[in-house]
Amino acid sequence: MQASPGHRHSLYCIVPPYVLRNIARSGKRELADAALNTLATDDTIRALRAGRAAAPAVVSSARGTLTAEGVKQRTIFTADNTQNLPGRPVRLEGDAATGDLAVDEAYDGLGSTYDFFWEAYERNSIDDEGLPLNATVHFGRRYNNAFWNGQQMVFGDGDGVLFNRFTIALDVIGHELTHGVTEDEAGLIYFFQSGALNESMSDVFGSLIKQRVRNQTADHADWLIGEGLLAAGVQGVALRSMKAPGTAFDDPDLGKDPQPGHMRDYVNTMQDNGGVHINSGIPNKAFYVAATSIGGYAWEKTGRIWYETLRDSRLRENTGFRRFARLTHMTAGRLYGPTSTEAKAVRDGWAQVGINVAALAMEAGRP
Amino acid sequence: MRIEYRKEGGIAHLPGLAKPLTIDTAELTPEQAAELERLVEQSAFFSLPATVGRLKRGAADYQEYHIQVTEGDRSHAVQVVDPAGAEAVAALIDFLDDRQREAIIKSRAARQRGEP
Ligand SMILES: [Zn+2]
Repeated sequence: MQASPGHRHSLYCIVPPYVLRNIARSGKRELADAALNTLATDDTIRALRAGRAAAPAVVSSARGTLTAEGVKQRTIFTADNTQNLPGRPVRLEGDAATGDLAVDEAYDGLGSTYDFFWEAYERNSIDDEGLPLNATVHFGRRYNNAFWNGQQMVFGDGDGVLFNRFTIALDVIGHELTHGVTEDEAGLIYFFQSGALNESMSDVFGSLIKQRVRNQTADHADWLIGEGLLAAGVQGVALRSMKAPGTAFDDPDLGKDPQPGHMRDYVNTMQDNGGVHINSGIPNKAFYVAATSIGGYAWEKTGRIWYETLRDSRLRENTGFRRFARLTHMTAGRLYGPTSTEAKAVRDGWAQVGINVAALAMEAGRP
Repeated sequence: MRIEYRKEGGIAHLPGLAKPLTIDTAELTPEQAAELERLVEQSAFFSLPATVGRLKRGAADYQEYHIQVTEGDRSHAVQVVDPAGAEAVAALIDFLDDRQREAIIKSRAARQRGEP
């Protein structure tokens, strides 16, 4: 693989441990040092959980039973416009609103996201074991982004020129938290197609969380991700459109929304971790088509199919679009019957983005 | 002193912001040039490792910053990931982002005046 000197880093920074070990064993000196450095600490959600288990007594007596099902444990921190994480706690579970918009939006957004996973799929938080939810707001100075650092959510204030504060959009909060769920269930590697699937999972559930709070059926939803985030003066409506990938913004400074909505327009690139935020438009569109075809509340059936697929042990960390498509089709068949309208809608959704699951199933069935 | 700066990643791929930015202190105001030189000095840029910041497993939507500083016959490239952690490095990135923002505000104003 070729990469410009400035790009090397991204090849090993988030690759799985077994690859890191191989690099450490056989790679170039510089790469090996970095790989060993990355391996030195266990940053997984499981490690986080173990740390919590080590000292639960004080917290649980003060705050009620920590792992009780359906009980949220939110903490909102402020970075006070530095880049220090997690920062200073400003609102704990049960505390009254602070009057700081970003703090209160993060608190409410985390609540809506937790409630969504619990009430729609009986999932108890990110790890399904009641993991406390932490978010930091006011990160950095005029910081134009939100991210999941592997353990918590982080939101910038935006610069007011291109972006507003990142807590303004509930689906963005849901998007970030879903990265935790995806990591816990499937560990989809954040590169190329598995990375684009990881991104699509976050858009799908981020959008469903918003739809559920608004009580919208699939045909009434806008299927936009990050509406309200673009500052006044920017030509665009959102970060992405699941319904019409590639149409969310077209601005002289930001450029044009680069998302494809069909395999024939798949973008091969080394940028953006191999186009994870670009090619996610393809599975996003497939979900949209399936959901509007099935109808009703999209989280009930289509969301359930995607959620059960995410939990499927056959979903490997390097799964690509075609394998994922086939798994959603099989899951729809398992839940609603192989000849059900739901299974057909899922097949049609993938067909409309250029992935033929029926043919894939036949391929797989051949001796 | 010349700086090449490129940012990528984040919650969306924004092609306009992924374009590289080149800054030459000769083209800055004397105050900005002095500020930039101070930030490079303060961050000990030429002694920084090739990568600053370390991603945790499962991290997503973080930004990556590619910075190359050339001064006389020495040149050094550094890649930073969110969160930059080291304050001096974050301050240098803030300075570069401010220049990018200035350019955007300027081009937006020119468009509003009807200039190409
Ligand atoms: Zn994401």
